[in-house]
Amino acid sequence: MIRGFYTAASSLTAQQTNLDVIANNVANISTTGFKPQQVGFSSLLQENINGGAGNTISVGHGIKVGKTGLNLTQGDLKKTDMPLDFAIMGEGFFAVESEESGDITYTRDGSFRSLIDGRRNYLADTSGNYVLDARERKIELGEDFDYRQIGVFQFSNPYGLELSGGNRFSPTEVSGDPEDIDEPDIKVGYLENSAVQMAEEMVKMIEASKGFSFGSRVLQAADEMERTMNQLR
Amino acid sequence: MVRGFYSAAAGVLSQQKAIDVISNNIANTTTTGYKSQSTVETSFGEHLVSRMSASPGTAEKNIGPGSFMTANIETYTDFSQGTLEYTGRNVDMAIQGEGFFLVDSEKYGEVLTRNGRFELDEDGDLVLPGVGKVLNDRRREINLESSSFAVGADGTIYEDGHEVDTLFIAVGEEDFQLTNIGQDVFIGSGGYQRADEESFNVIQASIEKANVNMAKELSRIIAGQGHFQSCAQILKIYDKINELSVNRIGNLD
Repeated sequence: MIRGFYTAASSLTAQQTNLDVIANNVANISTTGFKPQQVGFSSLLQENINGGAGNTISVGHGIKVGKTGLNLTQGDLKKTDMPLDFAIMGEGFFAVESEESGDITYTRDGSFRSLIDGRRNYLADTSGNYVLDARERKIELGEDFDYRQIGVFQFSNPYGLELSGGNRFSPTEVSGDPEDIDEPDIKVGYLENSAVQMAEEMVKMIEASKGFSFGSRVLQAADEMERTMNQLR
Repeated sequence: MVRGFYSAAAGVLSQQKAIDVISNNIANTTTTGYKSQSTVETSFGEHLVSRMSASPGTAEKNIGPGSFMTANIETYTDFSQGTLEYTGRNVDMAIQGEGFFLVDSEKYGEVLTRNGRFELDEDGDLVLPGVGKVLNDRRREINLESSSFAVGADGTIYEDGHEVDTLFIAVGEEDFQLTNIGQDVFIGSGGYQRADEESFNVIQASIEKANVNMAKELSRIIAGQGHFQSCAQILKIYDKINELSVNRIGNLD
């Protein structure tokens, strides 16, 4: 088969992944504290082939999805006036602990609520995970509750965080260990909007869909050339 | 066999290879720092064509030069600047103007790239994922405390306002040849040195997009496909001629 056929096919799969990621960003346009992702592409290996008459020419084999990266730009703050809504200005993440597994994950989503556990009343996120303080303890919602108790953690390389679903991140070897921030800038009665820029995503979507259709046009051309060859006899 | 038969076959083959290269360009329209390529097709082996005849008086013996084949002699890479896109990611970088980032690849040694979609690895070294560590002006890896660093236009990296390292932006010396080995990286033959600070700008939180011109590539595909089909048609005609000469001429009825 003509190499170009497979090259074009690789572009279709890559653009599909690109579109999947863009669709996820667009779907989360109103998710509190959401950070958009970007797909990074890389070209496949080049090969030297016989160009005819003893010449070699170099031909590439298409494209692959290299890595999806996080864009950690600050989202706009939205005033809600709710006492248990919090937003972080600048760097950092809230830490939440899962009730079942005890795993600690990190999020920018500060829409918290109270969770009654027996006779005690704890601060928790919307999925029922406990919000932790700077020393990774649960925070009790008593009369002496102060928003300054809420812990905010930062990572040396937040781009290395792993998405663990539900708008939460898990630390990895690459991201480094969480460190609590002294006097973080937490705004009470505010939520951080999704950092997705609609116009930007739309432009990327057009780019991905055009890339896809150009790729399929090449696939078609390669197919027609194959047919021409088949009809030689 | 008739000579034109092989010429047409060579035309089919060379167009097929040209389409392979164009197809790779179109596939990589969204690849960071990709540089578009094209093949150069050329006639191969000029021959002096002469007529074989028993009686030289009937016609001129020499017809003149002719070429029977076309071949792809090389792949040409277009190193023009791609457009820059803002990504908002602190670890991304783009070069505007001359030069390449220098990356230490495990497999190929020092390689050059325009792809600035960097990351920090678990040791805090600046890396190009899948290729290797980005090198500084002393050709060592760049170790950083955190991902919140700043990069100046001349490639100097600052952490908390202090200068910590400088990127190696490479330009080739004379007789410099770049070979594309895929993954957006090139191997340079001949020496390279640090680029003059005035000849480039490093732009942080942006990437350089591929410099593929879609209109050009698609028209080339259409032209290439047409050329391919014409050559195939000629093949068919020759086939028919051969068929006729075998079946008809020898027939004495």
